Amino acid sequence: MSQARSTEKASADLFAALGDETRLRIVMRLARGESLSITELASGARITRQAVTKHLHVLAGAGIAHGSRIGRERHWSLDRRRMEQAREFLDRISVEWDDALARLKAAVEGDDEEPV
Amino acid sequence: MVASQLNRIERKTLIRAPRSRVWRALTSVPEFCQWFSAKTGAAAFEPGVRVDLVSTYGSGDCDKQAFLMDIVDVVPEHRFSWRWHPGSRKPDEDLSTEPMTLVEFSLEDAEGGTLVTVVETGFERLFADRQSRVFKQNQDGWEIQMAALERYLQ
Repeated sequence: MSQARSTEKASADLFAALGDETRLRIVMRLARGESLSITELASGARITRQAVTKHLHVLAGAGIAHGSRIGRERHWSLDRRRMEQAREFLDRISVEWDDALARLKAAVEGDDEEPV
Repeated sequence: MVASQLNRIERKTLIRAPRSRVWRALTSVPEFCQWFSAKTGAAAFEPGVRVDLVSTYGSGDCDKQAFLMDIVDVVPEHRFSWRWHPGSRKPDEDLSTEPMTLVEFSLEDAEGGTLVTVVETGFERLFADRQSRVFKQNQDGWEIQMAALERYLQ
């Protein structure tokens, strides 16, 4: 029960967590599959390790990423299930729009007045 | 802001009719209600007006669902936009304090008719608890999500 609740809470912050370009880039790099250290994530990203750490904690808070200690360093990887949830939500709304547009098209093209 | 594009929906369709005809179907209340499958007592869609509607579409929990549109822009033959609470909800669900998404219809001339684009934005501001409730129905989509990310970040 408490696990289900914490899962819900994690989902809750998902869109907000993704609403930032730097975090999206971090997500993209982690999406390649391997877990990465903060040093690796900061290299070539033109941001400091502190900034990367801050963003990772936001992603962790939303359940998108999690860190695990390997030796002296913490390695970060992506929780794909959280990302699936965001996609599912937008997919559902998208299908509703496809449906509505199809009905608009049928309504307009169905009458014969004012042909192009 | 570019980053918000992950949280937007965009759909386009080409309608074989002049722009004036599509505009009328989109913004005349009786015509809108017909294709959108809704009922309302409102006389017109005007900027700043809140329109109460009831959905007449679908079945089950979507059937006869009340919803509202806060009309934002009505720019003849160009843009029609409103704010609302997207998706379906339970009858007893109170969304009155939930942030709304913005829906923007835009029309442009295209070969053979009118190109209709609908863009919905603002999903990141939806109520947290409602998001997770919607999320419970989730299944898959990781591949699509990553494709969207790839496209966005290129």
